[in-house]
Amino acid sequence: MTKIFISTLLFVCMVFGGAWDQSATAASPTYPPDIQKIKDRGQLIVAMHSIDQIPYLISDPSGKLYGNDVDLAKSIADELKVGITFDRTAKTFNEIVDIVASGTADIGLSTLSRTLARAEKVRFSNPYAVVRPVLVLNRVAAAKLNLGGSLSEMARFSGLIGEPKGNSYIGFAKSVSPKATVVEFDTWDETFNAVTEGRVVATFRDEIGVKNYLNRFPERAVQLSMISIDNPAMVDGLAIAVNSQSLHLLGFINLYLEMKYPTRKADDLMRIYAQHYKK
Amino acid sequence: MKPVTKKQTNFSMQWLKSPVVVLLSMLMGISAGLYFPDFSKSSAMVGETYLKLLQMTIIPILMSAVISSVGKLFASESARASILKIITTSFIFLFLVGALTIVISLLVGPGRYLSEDAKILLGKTLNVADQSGGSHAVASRGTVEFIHAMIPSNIFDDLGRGSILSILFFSLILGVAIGTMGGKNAQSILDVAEGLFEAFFKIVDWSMYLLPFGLFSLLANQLASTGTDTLAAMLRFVLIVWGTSLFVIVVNTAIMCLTLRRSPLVILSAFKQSMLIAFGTSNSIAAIPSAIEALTGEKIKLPASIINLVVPIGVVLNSFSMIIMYIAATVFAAELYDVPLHAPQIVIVILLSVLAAIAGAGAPSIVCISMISIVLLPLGLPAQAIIVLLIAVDPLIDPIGTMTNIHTNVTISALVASGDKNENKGE
Repeated sequence: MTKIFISTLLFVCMVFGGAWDQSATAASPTYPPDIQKIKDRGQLIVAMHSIDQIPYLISDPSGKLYGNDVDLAKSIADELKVGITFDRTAKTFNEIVDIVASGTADIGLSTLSRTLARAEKVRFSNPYAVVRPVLVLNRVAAAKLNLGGSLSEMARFSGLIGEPKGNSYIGFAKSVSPKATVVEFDTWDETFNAVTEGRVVATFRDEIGVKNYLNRFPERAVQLSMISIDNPAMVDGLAIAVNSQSLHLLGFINLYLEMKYPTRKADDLMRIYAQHYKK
Repeated sequence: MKPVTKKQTNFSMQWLKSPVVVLLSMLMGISAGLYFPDFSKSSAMVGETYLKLLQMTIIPILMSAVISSVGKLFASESARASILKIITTSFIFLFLVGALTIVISLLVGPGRYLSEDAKILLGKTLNVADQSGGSHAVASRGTVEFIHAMIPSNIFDDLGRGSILSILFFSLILGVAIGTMGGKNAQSILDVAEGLFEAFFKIVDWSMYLLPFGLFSLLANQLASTGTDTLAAMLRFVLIVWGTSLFVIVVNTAIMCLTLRRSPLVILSAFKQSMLIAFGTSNSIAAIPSAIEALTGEKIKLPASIINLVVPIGVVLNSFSMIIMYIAATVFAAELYDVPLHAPQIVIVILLSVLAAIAGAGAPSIVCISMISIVLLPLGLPAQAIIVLLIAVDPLIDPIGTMTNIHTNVTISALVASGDKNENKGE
């Protein structure tokens, strides 16, 4: 009796187990093409700047990447249950946008500011971090021009402003100081050198970028003054760039940010990644 | 015989007023501030309470002294000459101190030979200030604003807020009114003012028993809260301010020795208490009563009618320490930012520093410091940065600066009053 019962039970299990198995195959998720492509590849390709951006993107000597943007990209990949590949060929921020637009990378996640010019090529997620823009002035040049650094003064300012090539702050500078001439440099360091030496009067940059620079060269604060721009309309929202075809991925990322990732501010970022500032 | 008996009855407490005890308490305060900063900061309340006690009587003393002395002056019809003398003597001293400071500053060079480390320290101080939003500290007061601040719309409101400049202005006008009024009523108002003045003075005299405790706590807290980092970077600047101040005090003493015909030791001992209060509290106005007492007391014996007027006005309006600070800091800024100062600029620096010091009269010390923008901006030097650095080192130069203020104003008062005394004798 017992034998018969057990064998019946086994049979039932097999039948139903098979049915379960079959039903699972039948309901196998058919993802929208943009997600399917990532699932098939098993990798989320993330475009990032070739130069480290503390505290967003930091590489240690062994080539291991960490930082806020790296962590966020990894957690998105984890939610998609795929691995991650970083594409760090971009020399400028605009190049990151181009890489995403061409479809070489799935997303661009590298302290990207949203600009209208970039939004013509890619779609942007909601901001994952907001940072204030900062006006950096050469103190002596500003004193000679009697320039205090308020927005109304900068609106009338007609001198030279330096910004690095392919940077969103070129547009920002032109919108804040329409009468000024924007001089483009190759890198941020060259831009800051020019302001320090008084070759240009000012530059605009995000507060973390400015703080990082002055952490590296504290003596430059003798020449450079930083004035935070507190106008809420001018806050720089850092967002994730997504290919124009990847509508579903964009929806997924926005929902992820909404549910699991409260928008971070500069102070949060600097606190969370404080150990990198001690170095 | 009388003073002896008085001394015997007060003997038990008298030692608290001895300069040795006061000096000792100051030294202990300085060492406590340097070696036990946490304890010193927690004991700050004692010093602040003492300073409040000292300040309690300051406005009534200032008012009653100015009203009664101006009233008498105008009643005696020699007013115009005296006031002219006060003003000219003050201006001569202001410009002399300015000229002296610029000579010393240019010779020593406060911003010369700055090491890389020093520049890093300066940069860090400035960066911290920038980030905490200190970028709006630049204040400047034009002539119109100065007059606007001077005239009270409601004197009781200004008394309540303790705005010294408008109270002084009101007292001067009231004194002139009473003096020109004449008659019995005028005399009784003057008598009341004088009586009140003496009563308030008595209170100040009592508070001197607590001076050692107050100074200990004030100095300990001041040293404990000074950023020694910034000092390292601005050492030459601080040394110039101290050197110039001490030089001015020595010259003042010489002037007083000659005009008052007293030995330097008598002068030194007469003003020791007011100098110690000035140094210990960094509050010029708190030292007014003891300065008046010294000038009219046993050792100097100048006429109270003049002293009661000249000392309060001088201390409020003539800020020699600010001139020294403005000029030394301007030379520091010029050297730090490689802006050359030629003869015309040097003259401008002296003129504007005197102007800025007068414009800042009676204002809180942060406002006075930020007045340096009046000097720096015309030269194209960044005022913002220099103000931040000055605020950082202010606790180190404030004591000697306050002492210089009191000492120089005492000297001016002695010059004006002794001249008057001689004239009166001639008459």
